[in-house]
Amino acid sequence: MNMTLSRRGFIFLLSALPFAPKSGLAQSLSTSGDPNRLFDDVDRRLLGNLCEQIFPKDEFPGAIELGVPGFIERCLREGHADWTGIYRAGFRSTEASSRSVYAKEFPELSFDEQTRLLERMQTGDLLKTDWPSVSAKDFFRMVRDHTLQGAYSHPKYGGNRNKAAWDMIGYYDFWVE
Amino acid sequence: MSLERVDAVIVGAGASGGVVAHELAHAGLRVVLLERGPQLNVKDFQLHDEMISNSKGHLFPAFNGLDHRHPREFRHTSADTFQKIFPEDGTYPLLAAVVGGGQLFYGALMWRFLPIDFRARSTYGTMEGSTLDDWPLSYDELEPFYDKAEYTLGVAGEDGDPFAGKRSRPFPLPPVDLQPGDLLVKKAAQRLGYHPFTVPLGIATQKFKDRNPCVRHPCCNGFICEIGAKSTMVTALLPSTLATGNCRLITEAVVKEVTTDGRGRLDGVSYFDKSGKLTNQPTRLVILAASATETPRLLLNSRSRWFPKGMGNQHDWVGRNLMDHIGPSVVGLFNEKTSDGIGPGPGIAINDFYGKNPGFAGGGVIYSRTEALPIAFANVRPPGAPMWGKAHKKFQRDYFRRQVRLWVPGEARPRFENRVDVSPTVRDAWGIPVSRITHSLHPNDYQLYEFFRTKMVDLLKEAGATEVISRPAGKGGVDAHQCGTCRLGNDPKTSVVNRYGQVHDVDNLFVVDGSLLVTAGGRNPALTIQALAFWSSDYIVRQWKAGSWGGRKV
Repeated sequence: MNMTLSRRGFIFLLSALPFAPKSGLAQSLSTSGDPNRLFDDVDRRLLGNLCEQIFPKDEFPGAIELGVPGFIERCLREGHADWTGIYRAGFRSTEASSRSVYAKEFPELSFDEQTRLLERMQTGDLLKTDWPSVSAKDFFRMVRDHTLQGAYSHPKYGGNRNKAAWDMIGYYDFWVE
Repeated sequence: MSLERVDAVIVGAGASGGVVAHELAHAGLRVVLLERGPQLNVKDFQLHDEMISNSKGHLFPAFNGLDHRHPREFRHTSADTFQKIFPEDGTYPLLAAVVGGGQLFYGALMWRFLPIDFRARSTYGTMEGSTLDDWPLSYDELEPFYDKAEYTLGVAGEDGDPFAGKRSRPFPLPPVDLQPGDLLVKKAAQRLGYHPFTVPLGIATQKFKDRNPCVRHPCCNGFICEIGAKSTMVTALLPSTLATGNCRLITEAVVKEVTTDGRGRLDGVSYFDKSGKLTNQPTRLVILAASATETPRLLLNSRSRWFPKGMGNQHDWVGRNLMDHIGPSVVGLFNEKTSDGIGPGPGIAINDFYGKNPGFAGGGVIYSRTEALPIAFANVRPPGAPMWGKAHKKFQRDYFRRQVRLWVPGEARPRFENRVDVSPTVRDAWGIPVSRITHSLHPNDYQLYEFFRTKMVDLLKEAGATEVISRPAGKGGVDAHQCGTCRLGNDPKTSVVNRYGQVHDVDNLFVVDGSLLVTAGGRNPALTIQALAFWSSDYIVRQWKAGSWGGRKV
């Protein structure tokens, strides 16, 4: 009933990751093949664009500089393979909406055009036919939550490189290292 | 394999079960302590890590988010359909299946209830739609056990609350040092004529017995304290309990039912051991300490020809009156620094709105928190404010250490229809019928919520907040403060256990967890649950020594 206990939703449950508690119950959902590869170059570029929109570079580092896209890929690969399909479907729908709204591919949009498309994604104000398998709102919320988790979590998970997001807000974990 | 009979089996190695194990083992009884979760080696775990705490899944390992062996069902009212739920779902009542229980992760608020809490019906009168009642014991009777709990576990605090009951001794530990935001709230409360005092915490603010003092890490509420400064059964009770040689702790033991002999006499506890084998542990006494959502399940699942409706349930009160707290969480934004970026978080409290408010019954203690965690704070925004982009980053920078949160664990009305029973269809991985939860709010709960929301917004504004964020109440549901489902009482027709926690119609069966609470009180329940466990233990040991249950006369 209090705030700290009601934060749920699209949360990476890191208990499945190798650096999490050894419970004997944690299930490894690792995929075979290249252990470092989940998305192809097109999808990686798109994911980077989306993350950078959520956590853009200003006078402090943005999501890409912090390593957030890699954080998301790693969490999906090592613990949440079941969400990979949602991401891929969301990428295709994002591309479709970009073509419908701007008649351009998403990575070719200007930063501000991407921002406006994400604003419409957030409210679901996009053609439903471009989002056949995942809703724009749900996809937006998932990417938004995962990006901020990557930005603000411990650097050992792959995001928040050099603790730069913590330094930005004045959060200090004095047992790090 | 037939096991040797022991004197007592305790089900649940959490806050209350740990107390009873400690007291009985030290009194010389041979005890088996069963815990369905594992025992953690603290060093094996990623502790001060918000990603781990970020969901119910952090109550690892038995209840990690990928472990679907423990489903439940939930609905708000009898008009709704039950939904099957899992630990990561918002409606799943929080429950840490681990040696130490939820207290390992608690926010360490260790209040005593106020004297009026024990006279709830006398104070507020009867109310339609509520089973409000007085407790069958008084504050004065429980006081020696509050004292024992505070001195055994370690509680840091200060006198100065004019509404508190009398204490036989001062707090064993000095209060936590306040943060700048707490001081702003304290001065504002004084200007408004309230009576602020520093919160009591189950934290070693200085070296306590063999425990290290708190290092003020902000990852406190919701986290295990890896240096052992938090007062829990693991840090304060278990080592000496095991050292008596009288207590055997068995982990990953999933209890199925309490069993009876051929004459209907309780004689054992059946559980699935780590390997999945069903075992019966013969015993003279059984003490249930499995939580307010699991203890009633166990009683209701313990059916036989002598107990066709489950043990203790001949009047249909097992599982009734399920409660948690209802109260707003309100965040004030400041121009000045409120936090040095350290924990544990709680600071200043007031009891000025406890028990005599206009237009509704009940109340609660308001208290401040100044700590913040980065991911959680990303969701703290005024309505309509951007939740991402450059505006998100600016807000994080501006307010991460310039905010004060007030919360009130407001006293919800007990209601007969809010309950735990067992599902006729859903079973856990061991084939045991699971808990079904039905919970919604009483109209009085909404009035209380809105009253406190106004008072807390006003208090933060007086303290200098430039903006205050608050939200309206939700629809109910229970979480970490689940309580009330095996009510204490003198009348077997309107309660499950007597004033000592002894089940009315089964004299060798006790309940000692949060199920006992007649009313939820307007404050976190841990210390009261543990004081009651000391109170019940004292009764059990005295009866044992007088020869009850085949005990050894002394």
